Amino acid sequence: MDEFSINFGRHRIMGCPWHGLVRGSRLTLPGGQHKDGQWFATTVRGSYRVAVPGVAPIARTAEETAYDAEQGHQWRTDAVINLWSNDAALMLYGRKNIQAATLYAEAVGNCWAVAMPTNMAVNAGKTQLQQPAVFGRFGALSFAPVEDERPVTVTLSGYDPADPQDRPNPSGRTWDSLPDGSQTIMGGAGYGATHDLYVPTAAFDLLRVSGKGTPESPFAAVLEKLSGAASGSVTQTDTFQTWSGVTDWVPQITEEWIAPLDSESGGCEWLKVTVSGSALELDPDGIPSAVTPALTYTSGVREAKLLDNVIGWWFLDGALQPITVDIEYKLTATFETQGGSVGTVPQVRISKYAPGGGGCAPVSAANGGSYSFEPGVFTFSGTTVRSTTERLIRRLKVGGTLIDTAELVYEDINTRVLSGSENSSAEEAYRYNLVSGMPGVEVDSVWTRRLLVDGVEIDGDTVAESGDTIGFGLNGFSPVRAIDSSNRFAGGDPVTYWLPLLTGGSLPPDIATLKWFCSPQWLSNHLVCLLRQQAPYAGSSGRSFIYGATAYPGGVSAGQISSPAPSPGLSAPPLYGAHDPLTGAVLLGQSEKVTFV
Amino acid sequence: MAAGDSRRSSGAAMESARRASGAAIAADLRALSKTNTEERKLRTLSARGAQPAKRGRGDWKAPAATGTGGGIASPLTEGSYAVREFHPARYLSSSDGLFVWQFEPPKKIVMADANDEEVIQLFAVPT
Repeated sequence: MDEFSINFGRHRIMGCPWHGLVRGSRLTLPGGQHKDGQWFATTVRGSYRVAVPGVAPIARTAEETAYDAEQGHQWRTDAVINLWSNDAALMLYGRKNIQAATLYAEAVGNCWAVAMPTNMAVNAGKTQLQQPAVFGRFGALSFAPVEDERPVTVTLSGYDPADPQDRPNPSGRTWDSLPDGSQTIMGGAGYGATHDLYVPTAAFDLLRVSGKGTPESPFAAVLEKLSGAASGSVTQTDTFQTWSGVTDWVPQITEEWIAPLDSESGGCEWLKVTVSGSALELDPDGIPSAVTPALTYTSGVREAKLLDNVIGWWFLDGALQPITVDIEYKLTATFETQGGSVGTVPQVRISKYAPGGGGCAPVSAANGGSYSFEPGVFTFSGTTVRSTTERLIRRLKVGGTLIDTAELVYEDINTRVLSGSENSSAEEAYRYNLVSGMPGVEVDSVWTRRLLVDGVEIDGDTVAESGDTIGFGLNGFSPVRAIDSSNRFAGGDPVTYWLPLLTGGSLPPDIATLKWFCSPQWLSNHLVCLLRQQAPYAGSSGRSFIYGATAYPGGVSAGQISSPAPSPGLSAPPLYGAHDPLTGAVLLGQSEKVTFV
Repeated sequence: MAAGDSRRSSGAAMESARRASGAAIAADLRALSKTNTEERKLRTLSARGAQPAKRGRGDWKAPAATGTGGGIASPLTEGSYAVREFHPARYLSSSDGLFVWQFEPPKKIVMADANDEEVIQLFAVPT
């Protein structure tokens, strides 16, 4: 029995007339009709338009047009290819599995599925892949199936023979293509947990295919480097310094010789020492003691910038565009302290001198040498400010044009103000006790922490306390990080240490209401955004999302799309979007995955 | 009689002889033939009443069904697919041009009708 026998019916049109939005496993057609269980949006990571050059326009009679509308059919001269999860296959019409990197449509009747070799090893000079690509004829239906597979050498372009790491991505997946398949963007695929989607990962390559497959115009394949595993420029600044020494309250002393106040001094003048005040001094060479406690603090600026890091490529109206992210992190730590006292009643010590040692010598205390001592009253003042500021900026660019900027700023400032009078009878009443404080001399401490997202304070608190024993803040200082809480910046090269990991940070437990992230997200081909995301601290699962999504080409402007905060204990869903390759329409803010076919 | 008259008379006689259907010759031959046809005679009728009355009978035979009324008896049965003939290949492409279907339209199909008469269908080239 010949299964290719045909009937006597008339033929009007064939192809795939089902196009629309797929939500879950339901395709909704233009008239609202549904088709269930044949298309699935949950595993789609992107989609693009395929179009064969020279296709004839579609002509339908009035009756056929009415029938098409009734059925929800759309007959088109182009089609959609969906890209699935981490799979390398192309899903034509969202359903037909094509094991190829690209569908090369040279002309009607001359379409080829181009499969790259599973082993992407390169030759010694990096001029070609060791294994060929295979061009398999596609779409030829006939009495006798047309079997036609042709190996084609893949030429390499742009890879440095001297760099063993510079090579085509060994696990390249298709991410976008020109409609005729002549240029296809290949890259890795990594799992993005936030949206449960696979996102592109470097390195990226461009597959160029050409030729008609005839002796006069044989097929050619070129794999060209777009961007490597690491891309962008890095600059760093580091002025951090650590200071160590001791703190001391140094008296302001005036000495003068006065006339003896008794007749037993043998003509020797007495010494009058007046302490009129004191000043806080930091001595890097001092020896720690009970009255000169040690101090170590770190201050300065550490800054790193990674500019133009490529996170993907796509085509816009036939033009190749990189999607890049700038990341800038700046840590500023300051430590300033000053203090002193004013003797509202100066401390005065008068010491007796008498003849001795060939001149005048001090009389010992046992012999009444300490004539008089007035401890004085000292009014203390001072300020210690310890601050840390972190600023993390991400900029999203498409084709070099700035699309969105997200800024996280964490400010941690502790200001301590010293005030009050000491009426102590102690010898060094002018010296503030930096270890245990002094009765009557209060420290007012205000500790302010703020987290700002795009200049708006999102979270923060202020802790104020006062007392004479809380300390003047000279017990040491190092930066208090919240954004880079694990101090990845200090771990070495920012590109290596914090670029892959840095998405936000946690706040100290007692600020503990919100945890913020900011990161670029690849939602679908032609859809990227900077995601600002918050979650309650300490492992709570509740999460809400706020993000600005940008779609290309055209149609949707960047803007903030929010999902409502979830109920306690529940997670708000991430917000999805999809781009329709056939119409250019974009759908954003969806709570479940969607795709167009 | 003049010479011309004599020639005309002999000519007329020759023409008459040629024009004759040969009946005279045939009669002469018949007279000579042993299988000379008997003179036809009318048969003798029986006297009235000599034969008893009889009823005539004619059996109706239904004509063979042709269907078309053109003389082809249904059904038509194709004996061998192998004798089918096809026009040169035509190509249909999907609306998006991705699929191209090569097929050969039918040209000739040979069948036999119910009377085992051969029926040939010839199809035009599709337009």
